[in-house]
Amino acid sequence: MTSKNSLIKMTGDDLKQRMWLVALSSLLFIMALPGTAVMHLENKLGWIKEGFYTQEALKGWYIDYLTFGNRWVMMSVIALAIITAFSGFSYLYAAEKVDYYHSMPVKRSQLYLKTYLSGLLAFLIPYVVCHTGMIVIGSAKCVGIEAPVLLFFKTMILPICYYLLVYHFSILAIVLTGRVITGVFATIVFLWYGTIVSNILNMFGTAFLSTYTGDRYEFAQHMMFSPVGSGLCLSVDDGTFYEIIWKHMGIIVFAIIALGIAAFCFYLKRPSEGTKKALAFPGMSEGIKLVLSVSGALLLSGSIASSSRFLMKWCVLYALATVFLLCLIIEFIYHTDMKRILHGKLTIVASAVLTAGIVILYQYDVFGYDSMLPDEGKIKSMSFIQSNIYPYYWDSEQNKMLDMKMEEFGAIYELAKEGVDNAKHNREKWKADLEEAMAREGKRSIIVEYTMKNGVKKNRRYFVEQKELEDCMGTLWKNVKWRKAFLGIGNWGNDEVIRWMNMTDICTEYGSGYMEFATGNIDYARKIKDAYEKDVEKSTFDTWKNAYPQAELSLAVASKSDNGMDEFIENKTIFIYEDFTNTKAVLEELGRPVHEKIDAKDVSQLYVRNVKKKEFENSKIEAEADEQEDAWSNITDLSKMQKILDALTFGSRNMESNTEEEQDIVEVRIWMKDGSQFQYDICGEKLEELK
Amino acid sequence: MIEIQGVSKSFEEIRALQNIHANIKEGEIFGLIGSNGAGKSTLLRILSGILKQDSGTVLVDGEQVYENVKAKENLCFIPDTAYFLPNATGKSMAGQYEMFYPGFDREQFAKFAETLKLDLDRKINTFSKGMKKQISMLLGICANTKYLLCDETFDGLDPVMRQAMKSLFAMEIMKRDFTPVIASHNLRELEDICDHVGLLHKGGILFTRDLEDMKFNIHKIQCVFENEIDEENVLSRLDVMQHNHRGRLVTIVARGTRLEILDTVEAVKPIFAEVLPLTLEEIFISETEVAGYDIKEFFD
Repeated sequence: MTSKNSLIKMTGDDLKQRMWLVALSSLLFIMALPGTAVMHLENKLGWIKEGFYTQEALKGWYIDYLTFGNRWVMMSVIALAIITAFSGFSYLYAAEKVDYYHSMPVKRSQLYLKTYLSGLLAFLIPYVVCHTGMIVIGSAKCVGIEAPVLLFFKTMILPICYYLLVYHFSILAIVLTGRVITGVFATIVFLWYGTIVSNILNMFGTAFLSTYTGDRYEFAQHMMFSPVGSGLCLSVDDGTFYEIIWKHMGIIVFAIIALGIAAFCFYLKRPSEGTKKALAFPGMSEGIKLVLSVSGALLLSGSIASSSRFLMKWCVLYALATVFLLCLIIEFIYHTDMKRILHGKLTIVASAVLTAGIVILYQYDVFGYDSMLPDEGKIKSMSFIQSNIYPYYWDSEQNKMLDMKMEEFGAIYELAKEGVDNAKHNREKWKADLEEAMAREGKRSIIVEYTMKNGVKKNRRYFVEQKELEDCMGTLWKNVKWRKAFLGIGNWGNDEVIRWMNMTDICTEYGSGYMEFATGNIDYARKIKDAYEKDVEKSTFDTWKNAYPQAELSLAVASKSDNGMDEFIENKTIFIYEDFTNTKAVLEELGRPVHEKIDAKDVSQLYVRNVKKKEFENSKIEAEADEQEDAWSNITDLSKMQKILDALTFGSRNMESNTEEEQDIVEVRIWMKDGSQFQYDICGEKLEELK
Repeated sequence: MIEIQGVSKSFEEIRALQNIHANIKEGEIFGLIGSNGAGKSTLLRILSGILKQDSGTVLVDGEQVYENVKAKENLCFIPDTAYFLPNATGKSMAGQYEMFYPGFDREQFAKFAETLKLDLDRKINTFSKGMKKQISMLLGICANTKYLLCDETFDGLDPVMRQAMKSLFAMEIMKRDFTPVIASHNLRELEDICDHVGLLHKGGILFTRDLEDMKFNIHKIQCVFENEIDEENVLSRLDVMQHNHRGRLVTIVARGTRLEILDTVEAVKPIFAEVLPLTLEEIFISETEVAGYDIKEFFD
């Protein structure tokens, strides 16, 4: 018998013995793919008949369902990869099984390949069959797929790559360990280590570096560094994460190959006596102890340091204590012998030095992270974001301001210079204290993004003077593209359609300004968009800076998804100012005029009371204020009432208002004659005028 | 022939085998004797290519064993606790062995199983410990390999089955080129089957001897002498391995043929002299004491 034939025979035999795995795999994929797809397709075809859904949307949904839109596929793939690896290679944990297989006249490479291939086939056969079933169902149900063969292969790549990635990680973990418990632990560590390291860096950055912008990182971004994490993120993705992963497919393929080779080589070299020991390769024990204890200590001490300013000072001591304890625990896991927990003293010392070194590097910013100001000549473009320019709170829409890169970045660079100076002088302050201190000094927090000529992006959070910020924005305002991005319409495309809107102003209750754009008024959707763009183009920074918005428009903007077929709805909020006459004219035409003032004649009752707030959103002070219900005064005089009403604005602040300052507020409660109620605050310059 | 030259093996701080030298000739039954932890299983696992020795060489018919399929095709290892695939039956296990060992004889396996009244369609996990042992031995014998390495093979078998297995070994030796290596801590198990024995102690082989040679050349004689001068005269002329007194009765274990020893004793005209049979255990006790070891350390 040739070795090739015997490999095929052995693989077949192994697959036969693991038929339960094929059954499990089939069950999962039948449920995840054709099973649920048929139900969804029937529903959607019904909607098409009833006119609620389009054929194009169905096609888009179907392709998404084959790729990232089906969470069950990715979850099944990850679960199966781990189960398959353990069912095939966990024999390495049982001495009698090792004796049986390794005494047979078969090369270890063949033993590995037959187990590896049968595991792969146990996943691949049911998956490919179910996936083919999906393509057949799609064609049979007239979804309208072009090039089904290409689609068949393209949509299979990612699940197969993820399977291989997790499968290789799990095999490597099993081969390197000698006991089930350490094998499971190693698999968890391998599959999550990237996320753990990413979290450590984020926590230390947040705790020790005042210019660190880690809070911009979302949970999903940490998850991306772990195969399971990114797989799970993909399964609940809207497509964005899928695109990121797709772009990094080269790295994934490289990792698959490297891990596959590593698992194979370690398997060949694995000593049979490694069975029943914590680690199959005792030579690795000290290195693994160092890596695990240092990571564990940094993770725990980092979470402590980022949670309290007092604990931050003790971070080094806490880290040292943790690393020592972790070394003892790891040594106990190695030998399960209390007498040997102090074994490997050199590694304990090395781990302690490394941990303390890393904490100190961060604590004293040895690499000058906070004081970094790139040379102007090396910067390609710069952009910035201010997280609290009223009413443009930093939300996902505003986050796009960072995409507004300015090639002429002189103004932003000057702002960054001031930010770096401030950072240098405030290094010792804990983040929350720093924010408080900066707010007291009237400074604003900004995030600056440097895009270097080599393509690297660097983000820093700075505190700058309000005036400097305004100067910078005044300069940038001259650039219409930047201005549009700032006002939330930077990415309005020509193919975007407003599906509905909701207008709220000083005397319109939220929801009462709701209007859908369909047959009869559809042209107004385009008109509003055009008018608002015109208004933005002619608006000046000074007007905007001092003005209070008069109304808020919530819009549901529909655009085509990336596959060009499905519709993607995004909610946008834009604000209407006094000089936005074009927009106001269109809204008036639509029967939704913007109310600039409240007429006292329309008011049935008006109550006011003074509230002294030390902090704008301090719940304790609010509670005290609530207790003083009798402090409300009823205003009945029509002229006084009008004066108060004239001081009201739809938004209670403009850009110049500082939310953190101690300030007096007059609260106003209004009952309109039509039954609607409003409550407003009067503060700042408006309150002064009123007094 | 299996040649073991200077083989050493350590498990971290524990030295399991230390500079082992031994040759196992073809066609003989080699018994490997030693107490628990002496290194018998380690040596067998090295011989079968499961473990790799730290130093030294193991050659099977001139070939290195570890990761050498050609050499391993001549070897079959029956461990103390045999492994059977989940839900396996005798038949399915035979299929497994057939896949790995090209010479596996299915017919013979079925015949032997029938003789031993083993149901090959029954799941092995429902078998008793002894029945499992029988199945594993049948699988090993029917693999038709030149060398069969058995670790504590007869442990757990009832005396009838033990005898039946020994007969199977004998039949195979008669029939083909077959060399079993049997490791055991029980001397009596090997006494009537082995041709050659090796004594393993604390990771080293104390000696290897032909059993017949040992039985032929070591004898025990009990005698009563007229006086102490006669006794000393006899002791000085014999190659004494052990001697003791019980009153005037002197027991001597000495090297030499029965005739040589008897002639030497009778030359001084003792009051009483009789040559007694020696068990393998007594021979080992004498040999190990000569080698300077305390016998209590060796056997269970």
